[in-house]
Amino acid sequence: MNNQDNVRDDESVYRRIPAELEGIAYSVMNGQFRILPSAFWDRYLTPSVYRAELINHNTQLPQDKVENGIVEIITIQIRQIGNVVTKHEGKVIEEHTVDVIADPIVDINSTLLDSAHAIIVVNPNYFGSKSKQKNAFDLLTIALSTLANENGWTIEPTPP
Amino acid sequence: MHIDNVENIKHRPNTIYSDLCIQQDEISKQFDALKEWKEIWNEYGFERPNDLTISRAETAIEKLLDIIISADYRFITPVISTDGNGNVTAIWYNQKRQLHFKIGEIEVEYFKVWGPNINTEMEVDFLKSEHYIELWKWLINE
Repeated sequence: MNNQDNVRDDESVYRRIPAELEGIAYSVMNGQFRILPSAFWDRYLTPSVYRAELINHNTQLPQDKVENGIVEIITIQIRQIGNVVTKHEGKVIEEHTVDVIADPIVDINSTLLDSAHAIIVVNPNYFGSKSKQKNAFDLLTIALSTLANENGWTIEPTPP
Repeated sequence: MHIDNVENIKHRPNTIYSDLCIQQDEISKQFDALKEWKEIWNEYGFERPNDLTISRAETAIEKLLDIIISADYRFITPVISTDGNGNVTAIWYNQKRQLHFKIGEIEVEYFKVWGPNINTEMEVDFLKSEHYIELWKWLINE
């Protein structure tokens, strides 16, 4: 196993907050930029992050466009946010731990395109109806946005 | 946005009435932004809340605002957004405390949040009328 396969507890990860998601992923009120839970929304319920160390803490790659914002979270903070829960008829039927795992991006020829890409996942994976999965995911996005607001912006977005 | 007790509020000191109007304007602007959904948001996978959900959300916020003002509490302007799944979210922040409403077509859930730990710093339940004042007092730490 390559060292890069394991995301260490002390590694920082970056999350991009697209500028065009003002009002959805972040809000601006009285001059204050706030990171909203939807900043961590992901259609596959596995929010993407970038491992800072593997890109020499250069925020340009995850930022993509200069107007986009960046937040930085330490991996241990994510792993310590507790258990996401799946409920059935109001009762907890499963507790999922939260993890950050390497997810290098390769093309169809298995050529490595982006070694720094990682995703935030839960163990065991979400299951049940779509609404059950999304309800469980809501807790994760609220926790991640709370962490991000506590840490503050690395780069504030420039609203359109 | 209509507030049932606005006639009573008009007789209060000008600053309170003016502050309320500013907050109502800010809330309306945020709902307008949701209604004028941008196509680009679909590309990120966000599902637009439908008209019924937005209408229910406006009613829920109006009701809370009415109850809070009637009980003589200070109101805090929420951040109105979506959870990505077609629900409207309203979030109030007061230092470390956050109160989230997740408003869908049928029901409203609330999340009390006072830190990032899901197990020890969050509470989730379905919203009922009797929760409004209790939740607000918790938010403002009274």
